[in-house]
Amino acid sequence: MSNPRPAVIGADVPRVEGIDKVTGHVTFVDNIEPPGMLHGMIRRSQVPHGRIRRIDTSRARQLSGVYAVLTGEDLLRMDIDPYIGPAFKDQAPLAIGKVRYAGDPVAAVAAVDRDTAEEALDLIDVEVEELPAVFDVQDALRPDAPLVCERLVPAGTFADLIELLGGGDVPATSNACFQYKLRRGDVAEGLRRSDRVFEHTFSNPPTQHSDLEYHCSIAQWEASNRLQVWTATQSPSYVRIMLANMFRLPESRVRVRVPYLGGGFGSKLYMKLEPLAALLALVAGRPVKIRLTRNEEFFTITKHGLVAKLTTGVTRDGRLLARDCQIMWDTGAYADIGPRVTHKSGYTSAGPYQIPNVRIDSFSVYTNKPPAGAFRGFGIMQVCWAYESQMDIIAREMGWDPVEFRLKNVLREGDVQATGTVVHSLGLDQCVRAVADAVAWDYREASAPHPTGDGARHLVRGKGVACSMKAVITPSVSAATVLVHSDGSASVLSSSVEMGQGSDTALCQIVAEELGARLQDVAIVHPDTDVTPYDLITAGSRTTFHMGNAVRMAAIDARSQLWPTAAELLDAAPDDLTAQDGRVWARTASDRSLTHGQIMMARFGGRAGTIEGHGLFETHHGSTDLDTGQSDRVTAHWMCGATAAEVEVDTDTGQVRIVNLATAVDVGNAINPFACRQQIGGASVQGTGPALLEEMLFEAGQLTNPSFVDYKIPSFLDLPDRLQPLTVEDPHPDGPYGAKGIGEAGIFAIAPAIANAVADAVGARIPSLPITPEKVLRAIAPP
Amino acid sequence: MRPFDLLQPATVDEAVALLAQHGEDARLLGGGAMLTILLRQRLVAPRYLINVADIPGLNAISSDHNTLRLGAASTLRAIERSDTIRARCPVLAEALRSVGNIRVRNVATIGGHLAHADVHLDLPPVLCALGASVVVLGRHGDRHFSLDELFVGYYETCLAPTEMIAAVDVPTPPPGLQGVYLKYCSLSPNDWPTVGVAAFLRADGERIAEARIVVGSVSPRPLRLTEAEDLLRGERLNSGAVAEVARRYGRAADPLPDIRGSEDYKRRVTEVYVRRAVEAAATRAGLA
Amino acid sequence: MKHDVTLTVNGRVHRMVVESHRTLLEVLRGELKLFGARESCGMSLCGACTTLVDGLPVSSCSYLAARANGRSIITIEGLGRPGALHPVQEAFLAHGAFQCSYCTPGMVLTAACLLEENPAPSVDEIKEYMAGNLCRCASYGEIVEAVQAAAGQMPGASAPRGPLRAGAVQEDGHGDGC
Repeated sequence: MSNPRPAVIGADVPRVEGIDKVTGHVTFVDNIEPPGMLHGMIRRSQVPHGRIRRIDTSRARQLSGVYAVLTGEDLLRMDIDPYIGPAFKDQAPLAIGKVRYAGDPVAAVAAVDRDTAEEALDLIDVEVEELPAVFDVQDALRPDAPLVCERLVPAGTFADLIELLGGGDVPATSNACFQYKLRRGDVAEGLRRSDRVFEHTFSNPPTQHSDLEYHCSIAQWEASNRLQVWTATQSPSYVRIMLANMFRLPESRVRVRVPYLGGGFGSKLYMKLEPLAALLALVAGRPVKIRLTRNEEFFTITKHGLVAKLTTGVTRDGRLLARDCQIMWDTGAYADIGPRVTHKSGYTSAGPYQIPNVRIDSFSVYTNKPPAGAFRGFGIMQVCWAYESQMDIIAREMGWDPVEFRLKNVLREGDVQATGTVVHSLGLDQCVRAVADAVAWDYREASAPHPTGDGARHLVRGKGVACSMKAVITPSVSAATVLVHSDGSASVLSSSVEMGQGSDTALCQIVAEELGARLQDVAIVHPDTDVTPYDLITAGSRTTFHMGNAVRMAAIDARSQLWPTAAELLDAAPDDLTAQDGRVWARTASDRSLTHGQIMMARFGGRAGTIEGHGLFETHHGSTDLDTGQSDRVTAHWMCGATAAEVEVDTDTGQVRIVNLATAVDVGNAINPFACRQQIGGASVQGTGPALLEEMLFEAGQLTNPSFVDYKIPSFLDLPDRLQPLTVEDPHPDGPYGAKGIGEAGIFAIAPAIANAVADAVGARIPSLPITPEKVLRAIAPP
Repeated sequence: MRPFDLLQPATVDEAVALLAQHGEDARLLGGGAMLTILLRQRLVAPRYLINVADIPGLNAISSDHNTLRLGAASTLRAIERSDTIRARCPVLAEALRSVGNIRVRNVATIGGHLAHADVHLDLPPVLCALGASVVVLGRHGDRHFSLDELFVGYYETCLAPTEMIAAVDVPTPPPGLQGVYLKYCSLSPNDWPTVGVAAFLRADGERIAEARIVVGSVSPRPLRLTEAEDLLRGERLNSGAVAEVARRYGRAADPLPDIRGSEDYKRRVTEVYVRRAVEAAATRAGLA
Repeated sequence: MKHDVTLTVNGRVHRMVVESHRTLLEVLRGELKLFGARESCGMSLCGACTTLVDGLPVSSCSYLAARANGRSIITIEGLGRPGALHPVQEAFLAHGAFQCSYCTPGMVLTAACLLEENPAPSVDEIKEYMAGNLCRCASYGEIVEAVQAAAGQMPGASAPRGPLRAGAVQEDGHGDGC
């Protein structure tokens, strides 16, 4: 069957959960409280690196109201595998033997309330012998650097991280835990033949996700040795598998449920508090909830800092001939998903350009700082910061229009990307053109200051552009079930997590479209691993593409079970049926129609029965040469975006104000155009944070700004004067209705676009984020 | 938060008696905007909190011909919205619009704001420039301090632990005194100031009869350089003199480096904002 | 120390005993099971815990419950309900002014209070009034649009007092406001 026209797809339908959200009735994990629940809290290391000598918990144990006290030593005595980590099993829920950063959990308490738990934490005596520590990636790679992690055990869970098991030139006794290597053409030769060679180093500091909902997990053991977990995670399926491994249980005895999330942005991926809550609950014999404070968020997961040295050769006619990328990622004290960040951003570290000679060496490096993991884009923001800053320097030094320079080199349909994979369905050219138009791009050769119209001498304006692309995580698996109930209404069983991105609505739209049901008759069942099938993760802009396909297949499966009955009733061939707005009819006789309820009634002979449709969507990776990174298929689809910014700089203070910010993302085909623009606009504004404001500051390994007092995220007052979220549609043949993932692409190019606009305004280049007024002022008027 | 006992006196005398009784074990609670943060971070752990914010009458805003009196428990928001304040001290009302946020201003009290003596707060420079003083009650009876006397250093006032601010007196500004409060935030505008400048000028014809310039956030206490102000007095507005005044403030600033900027940067923007504030005040005073 | 308090929450009277250090947020969530107010920054900086006390938005994470004795408290649960939404809630729905919605109750309550105070705010006035409410999903643009749209729907100045002032009204400084 095919619909006369998509009815629900492509419509700006309001969010299916909207009413619950504006009335405050949505459930977050912290609203849940099983009877008898205790509160778990964490004691953290004060020192950045040290050997644990002794932890005395005796006084804490004696405090009235305390049910459980745990240390890393205790974990070793339990019948569990205490080590976790999505890439390497390098972390335990409580530090064992060594602490590796100031903030590392060393002990935990479960007590009747938070006051008691906090008091108990104070009664724990921790003795740590301090070890030399390392805080900077370049220091960490010196041969004599203190070793943060002594032993690397690949976790072996994720199919896309197969490279962890070999490859790279990382010595076993180095703080580099992973190397991504890419070799294409001959970089040395390419640079030799170039007319100009540019070498620059760019950096950005660690930042923090600051999703407003803090991490929160609840664990409860049933007497039958069954573990129930409610948790704020973006990866329920993964959490179940890992808890099953840790406690040596069959997956069927671990149940993970996820209600709504108050934002994620990568911070709630993989395992965070779940194992510790389960351990405390096991020991206490009562359900335990752990929730973090804002302060603790900063010590739980961060976005990677990066140092990138790029050497780029260009020809006089404006072509990129060779690019060498030497990149170091600060993954902190535990790798978390650092290797995937290094790996996934590795593919496109040379930029979204046609470059015949490319060399990429990208290292994931341990330091004694809070662990770094996934953040919206899995590292693309950071590499884009480097290559798009350099693209602008090159363009301006060569006297080329930065937009034209990019358009001359961007990858297009059929081009071979640096990994050897052919590019399909990449609307990057259109994205760049769209944002250039949106800011009325007007290239001026000389970078003379451009005063504003109001005549204020200290205010100058400039424009900048930047663009980027990313490979979606491949291989991956998403499965879904669609249930059609006896009245014809439908439930969508999916392990995709609704964390604000609008996936519930998009998935319901797809099911409504395929069944021809009314949107209000389709409801989503939130992740519950006993009920909702496997999904890799809700991250990496993969839900619409992957889970979208899975629920579409499940809906089609359900439909194919219903249609024979309908065809019989309508005296038509099943292929001749069509459906919309809750009615099914034969194209040849549109005067007669049935509701889904009537079809169910006929099928089961009464108000009874369930039709169950299944969908399984898998993507596959081509084989990869570990020495060159070359593969015929590194990804199932590419996503891309471009940003143009116009800024106004106060030359007396260096302050940057964003006058106009336009971001275009190739959405393939918008399932919900409003939701697409909202994601792009939200990502754009969120991206101004790391660009202008956000930075985790450390002094001797101690974080000095772990609160919103000194860590500022964009507010109403930081909004650009004008914000333009734009969509470009280059449909993907494998996407549902041609749709692609879009959650991340809006944030990729924000920082370099702003930096390039600042450079255009004042002729000064800021090579490190954030672009603070002080850096700008020093660049234009050294003290 | 560590447990404490919240004491709720009904009168100022009761509050003072409780202070005398508990001494350093007690802290006064105004709106609690700042104190609850300190309690939560366990930077302070008093056994008693004496709530003065809800003492009847302590939030009165009254005025006579010479003086505006703000009861110590007046909330910042109430002051901001008071017609009397808007008429008599518009700069104070203006400055208040960007203090903290709407929720903080709804609870924070003027007494607590001043007693906290945080150099980053916005009102001390404005109130210093307006010549405000505080009425203090305690064991020693009533005392009056100018704000210049009140602020001793970072988070430090001249008050004894057993004393409380009961009211803030703002003298009626002399006719013709016009001013501004300019706030520069180097991070988000939704932040406390990197530097805040209160500048007031009074014109006498085309000449400056009086200049008051007080800078917040860049020194242990509000920064006022009378000898720099004097450079303007009796002069016509000229950019050279203004620049020199600004330079002197920049040099005299003694800021703490933080995420908002280094010492050097903060001195530089102090100079810029003193210049801009004086120019803006001059425009309002009809001098430019 | 324990305090006998009477809180009027969303028009319902609650007599209870609270300890001195208990915050209003803890009482709303822990005792009254009203989960619309949420903790996030714990420092009065983000607005996720915004609650109206005698008609004024405050950060309930930093407001001692004992101080709320005798006062009227409105949470998002008391502002409107399905079928009888407050105009600001209607506008948030119509303009999709939320993503994860963790900040939404605080945004809605603050906007409702703004519009009672200023029935036709400019964009800059909206941004200034709401500057202390953070949205990490950054739906700020949609929120501003929603507040402007709701402004057109608000009862005029001559209309009777809205629900925000339900309960006792103090005539002193604390009651000054919306």
